[in-house]
Amino acid sequence: MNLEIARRDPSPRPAPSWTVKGDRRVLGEDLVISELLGLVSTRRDVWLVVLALLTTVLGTLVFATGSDRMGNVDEQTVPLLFAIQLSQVLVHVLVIRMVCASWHGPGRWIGLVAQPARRRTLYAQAAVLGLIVLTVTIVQLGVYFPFARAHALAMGEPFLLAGHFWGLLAIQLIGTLMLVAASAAIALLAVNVRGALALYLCSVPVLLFARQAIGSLIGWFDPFQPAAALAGTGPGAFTAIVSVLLWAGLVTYGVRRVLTRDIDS
Amino acid sequence: MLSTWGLTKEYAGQTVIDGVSFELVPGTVTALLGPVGAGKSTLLRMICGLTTPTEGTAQIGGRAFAEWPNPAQVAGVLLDAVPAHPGRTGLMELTIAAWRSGLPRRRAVEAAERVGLADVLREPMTEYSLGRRVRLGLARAMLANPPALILDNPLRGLEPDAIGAVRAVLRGHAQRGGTVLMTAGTLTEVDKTADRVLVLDGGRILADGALSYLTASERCLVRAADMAKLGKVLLGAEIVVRPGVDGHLSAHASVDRVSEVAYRAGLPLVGLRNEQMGIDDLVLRLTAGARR
Repeated sequence: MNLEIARRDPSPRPAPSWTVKGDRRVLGEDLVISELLGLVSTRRDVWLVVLALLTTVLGTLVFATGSDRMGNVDEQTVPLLFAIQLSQVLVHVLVIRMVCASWHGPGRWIGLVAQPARRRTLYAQAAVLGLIVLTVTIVQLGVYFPFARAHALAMGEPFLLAGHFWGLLAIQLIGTLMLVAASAAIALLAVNVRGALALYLCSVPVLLFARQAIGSLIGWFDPFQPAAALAGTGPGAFTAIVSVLLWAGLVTYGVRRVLTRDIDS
Repeated sequence: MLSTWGLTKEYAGQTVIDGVSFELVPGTVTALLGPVGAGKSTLLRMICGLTTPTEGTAQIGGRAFAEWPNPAQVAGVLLDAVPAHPGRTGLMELTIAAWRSGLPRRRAVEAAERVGLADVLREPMTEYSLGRRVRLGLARAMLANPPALILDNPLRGLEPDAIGAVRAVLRGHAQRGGTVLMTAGTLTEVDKTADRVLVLDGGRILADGALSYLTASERCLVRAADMAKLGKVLLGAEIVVRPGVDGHLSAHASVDRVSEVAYRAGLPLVGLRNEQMGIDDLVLRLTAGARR
């Protein structure tokens, strides 16, 4: 009887355990942690992270206390704009190294065979970039506010930014986000980390000075333009929109490129 | 376990992989053998989903590698033993790989123990010899203990003791029912490691079989205490000879025939074996065969 039942309705063979495990997606958090670990995986990496934080803090400190005019809101805001653009350079170097290592480095195949769904790796990297933007925003505003206030008061001026916290937060967030996005776009489009760093150094910091010297046309290419426009110091909303569209387009193109490209060697 | 059907890759109109089909069964080590530029690495990259085929498909465990949500559980891959981040310790490299595959961190140490690297796991990879780097790559590939291993040149440039260690790992994996696909550029890398050899050249599989079968030649290597007399005896029996390796004569006859001729002449032999072909000779013969 039992034999007959078995013949008529054989139980399906249990799947080998590897097929079950192979069907389970790796958690997004695990991918984010692997990317974060990659940022501090060597002594040199750790030093770079520490230096990036230090330069951000020190740069912000210098700009917060270095201005000789703190008489109105604009004069108290402009040092923060310079601090965002100039003291985050090493943070952008970190971003470029992380993105390049995943997509252009000699060991890029290691991550891609572990996680062939390239989109998921991009999401994990986007999450890390988001964490970087938030951290830098908190650190930079956390340093700027008390030191700019002390500096203004020392100059005998009232600290006017206390009532504009949310506006400053928006400027800081948008400025940092755009600069990080520009670094990521350059890293996605470059062929290797050295090329990306050269391209970044020849573009983003240079654009700051070029914008000061030449003006609105350069502003289209300047990723900091939206934050400057929000602060009321840029050439205007149209230039800011062009800048956002341009860099969003470059990020999109870079993403499409790494999603579809063959990894040949 | 691992199959390809008509895999083809063209770059700028040039075919580098041309309709490659094969099927690998569990419990075997299979070597893709071929000269530099034969297309071995490209083929592995296509199997792993890194390079998109122009035509054809490859499957591991019943589906394309990239279609597995967590492919590290299905196939471990080692494509290049050069460390991407030389300053990292072996432990950090394996820990990152474990996170990426959703595995507990203890797997890093376990995998390193399996390939005999536990003692040096906290040293930076810059201090690793090539043999250690390959073993670290194997440990990374075997983190999830997958049934299939796909390895590009795992024995290239290794010292003999490192070759022995890696070979033992691969044979052990096959004995436990695993499937290994590896590439090799020389016959000595494949000898004693692979059960089956696929000879690839110009992007096409020229031969498929056991190594001893593929490389058997119609010649044998013979050595005697009196080499001058041996030469005369063989020539007298109308066997064509030429200088062979390691002081042997290479005789164009079977082992049985040469043994019989020497015995009749009362000439004691100190060495007699079939002459195996080198990879170049093998490819040359196969290419010539294909042209005919």
